[in-house]
Amino acid sequence: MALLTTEATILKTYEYSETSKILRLFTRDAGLCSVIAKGARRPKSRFGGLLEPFTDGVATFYVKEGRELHTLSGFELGCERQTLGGQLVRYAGAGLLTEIVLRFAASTADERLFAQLRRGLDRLVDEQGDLERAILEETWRLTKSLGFAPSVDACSVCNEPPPADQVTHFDLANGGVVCNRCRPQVNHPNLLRLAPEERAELAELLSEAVGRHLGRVEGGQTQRRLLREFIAYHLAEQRPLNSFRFLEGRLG
Amino acid sequence: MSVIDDLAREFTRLPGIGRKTAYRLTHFLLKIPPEEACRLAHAIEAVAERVKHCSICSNLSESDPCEYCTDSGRDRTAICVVEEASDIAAIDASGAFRGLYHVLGGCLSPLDGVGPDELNIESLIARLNGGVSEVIVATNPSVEGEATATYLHKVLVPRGVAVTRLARGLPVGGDLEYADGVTIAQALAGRRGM
Ligand SMILES: [Zn+2]
Ligand SMILES: [Zn+2]
Repeated sequence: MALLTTEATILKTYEYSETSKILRLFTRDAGLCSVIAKGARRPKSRFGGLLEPFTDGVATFYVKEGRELHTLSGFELGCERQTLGGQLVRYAGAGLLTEIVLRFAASTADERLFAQLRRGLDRLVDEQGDLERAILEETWRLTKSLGFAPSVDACSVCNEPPPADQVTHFDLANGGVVCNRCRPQVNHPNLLRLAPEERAELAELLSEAVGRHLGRVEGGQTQRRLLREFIAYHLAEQRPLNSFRFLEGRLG
Repeated sequence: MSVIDDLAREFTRLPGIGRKTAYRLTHFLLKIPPEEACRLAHAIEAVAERVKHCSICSNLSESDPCEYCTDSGRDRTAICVVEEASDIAAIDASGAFRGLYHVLGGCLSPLDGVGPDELNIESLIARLNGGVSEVIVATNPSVEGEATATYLHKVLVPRGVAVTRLARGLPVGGDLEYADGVTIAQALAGRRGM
């Protein structure tokens, strides 16, 4: 039995027995982990109110070989994000980011994904501008950190950039835009029509350039649909994420 | 599969019961006199058959409406909203609240696909016509409980009722059902406007 101390973000908590909690953690050193926090639900628990979703800290737990559930022995608070509960759109966005990590991250260290999740959650707490933009941008970044990025600037078949004013299609299977010349070759049902301004907006949401446009998202419903279907196709084996439905309900 | 395995498998479906504990419970039941084991079986059968959700407040009860909804001695101007029916007993035992209750059936959770439509919120709104002046939101002091309270505040305030939330005297991340009466009484006394 080895003792592991690592930075961790709490993704989700479950009640366990009358007094304990099971936590799903995303850790810097070991990726996704499940730990049991014994006594955490007692009013006078030494864990107090620390063990809540979206909270960062340093977790210490006993790793049992061949076991999936480890025993938490300590949690030192780094940063709590309880205020997310006070604004439903922020809460929905944070739910989406954590659900993606919970469902698609591995139980091995992934420095890039770990850092991106924290940046995303921080932005959802602090964002002063358009929240929908923040959610879309941070979710795309998380998806990219998992190794999936759509191609928007160039056609995913011929690799040529389509004319700026062309109505193109988004091909989920090829993972990107398909120009009109290549469109006849692509005959599967996963094509989504993409107006020039929608393609430009998607490129903008995927861009991480400093000084990019940061105003309100114009085609919110289209952009949410692209993101939702891209994730469902590439990561979720067509099983859509629960958090998207909640987000749709909050943004309308 | 023997009947022993069958019973053990049923036990593992209960929260917090693993395979080992399930067999321990099964063997315990095999050691006690058969009539005692049957008494347990009958008790389970009785709750499964007779206990239903109250059609007004969604509390679990043998009668519909439940004993709180029909009690004429209770204050009908205040409704205390809880996540689970099991929270009611904890609050009521504190003696600090004598109004009515409403059970949401959970809390808002994007990851679990629980949105407002999955909770008993429409039926809460429907109750506001009958002279209710205050809704006390007693969701758990967790981030999900806070989000649920935020949503309730948003939909209830335009309907002209005062919406209050239990003070954070309760330990954050804890569970109302297991909190002690003094803590609950203090939280009720210190409830705040939203
Ligand atoms: Zn092409
Ligand atoms: Zn009732």
